[in-house]
Amino acid sequence: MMKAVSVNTCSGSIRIKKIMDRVTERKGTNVNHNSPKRIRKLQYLMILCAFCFPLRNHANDNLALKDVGPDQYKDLIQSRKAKILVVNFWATWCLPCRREFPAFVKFSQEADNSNAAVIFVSANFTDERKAVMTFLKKYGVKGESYLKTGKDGDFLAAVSDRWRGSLPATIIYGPARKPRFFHAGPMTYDDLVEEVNKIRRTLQEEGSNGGQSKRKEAKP
Amino acid sequence: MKHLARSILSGWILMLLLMSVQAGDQLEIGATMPKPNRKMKNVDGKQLSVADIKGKKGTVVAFWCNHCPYVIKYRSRFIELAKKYKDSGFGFITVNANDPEVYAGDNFEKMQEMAKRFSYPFPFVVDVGSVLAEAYGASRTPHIFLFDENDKLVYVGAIDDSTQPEKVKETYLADALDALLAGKPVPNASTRAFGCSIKWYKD
Repeated sequence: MMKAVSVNTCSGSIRIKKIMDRVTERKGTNVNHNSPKRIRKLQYLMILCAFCFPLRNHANDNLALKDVGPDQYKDLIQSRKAKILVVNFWATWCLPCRREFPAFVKFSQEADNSNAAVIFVSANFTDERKAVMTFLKKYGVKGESYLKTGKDGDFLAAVSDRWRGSLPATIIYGPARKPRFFHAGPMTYDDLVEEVNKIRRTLQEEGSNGGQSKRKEAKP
Repeated sequence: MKHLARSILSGWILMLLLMSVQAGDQLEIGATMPKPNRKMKNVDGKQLSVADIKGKKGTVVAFWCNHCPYVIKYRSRFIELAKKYKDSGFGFITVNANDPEVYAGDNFEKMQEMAKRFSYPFPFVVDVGSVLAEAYGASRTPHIFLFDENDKLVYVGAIDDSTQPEKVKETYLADALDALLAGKPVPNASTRAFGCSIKWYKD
């Protein structure tokens, strides 16, 4: 969907450029050619263009850094469809965070993790957006990423009553965003896979126990 | 029935797992100061214990380091606070429990440099093996522990509620110190804040 829009916009912008060129060309020779009709057409195209540009950037880059405060955290994790949601809290200047980061990116990109997703919440200070974006780009993070805002105490209270605020930290949620795993400290790729698989097995058992039809999903 | 037993068992395993992943539990409010006589090397080269610097009214033990951006944000505020309350009878000590093998910027020479450059009004000691941090259940820098005159923990957590000085509304540590001076209970005895994880020494 996004791609189609971006292609259209591309050709749209090329067309605009051509028309603009023609207009300016003619402007030089004969002003009367700039009929109101043609100008209106140009205006329409420009409006279309203005609307499509953010979409085009989004499709190319697909990375966005959004603020998440204590009041938005619950909504954020609820909004994700994946059955298992891994939330990693990190910061650009946190050495163990930097070291474990590629493992989380790799995990998020694995094809067989279709029922699991990873979101990154940066605990960088709000005046460090640029550094956060640069870092995320460098590590090939796609989609929406988040920057923690608001007071630390409020934020931590909204996230977990187990976490005292040391970085990095990782929480893995199951369905209905029930926290299934918490770890304050770095993790390896293998740790992450193991923990997620454990949760999958637990969910499978809970599913078969409760006699619900969750059984066929959640294959490790 | 078998399923039920299995699910209970897996629940237990999960719980044990969740409990095991958290490094040392943080000292509870009311707990007695652990390892008061443990000697640690101060930036002046002398061996010092928390007991050596105890104040008449109480003692502030701050897990601290050189590199952490949170420590850097709080550095001058904490120095000012220490200067102010030292005269009222409180002892202050900062403890670096980070393994310099993990984070080179937290080595002893750098500690000396920082203490000198910012004229630390308190000792800054090396907790080799992160022994004190483990006993306290400290998890990050900065992580503050305030004990009363009887060495009972009366406040644990953050210095205040914002890394940005202009946004501070709650001066947790100062309020706790004032409460001790006034002989009143500490209003918010336990608070949380973001910080850099302690870089534990490898066994």
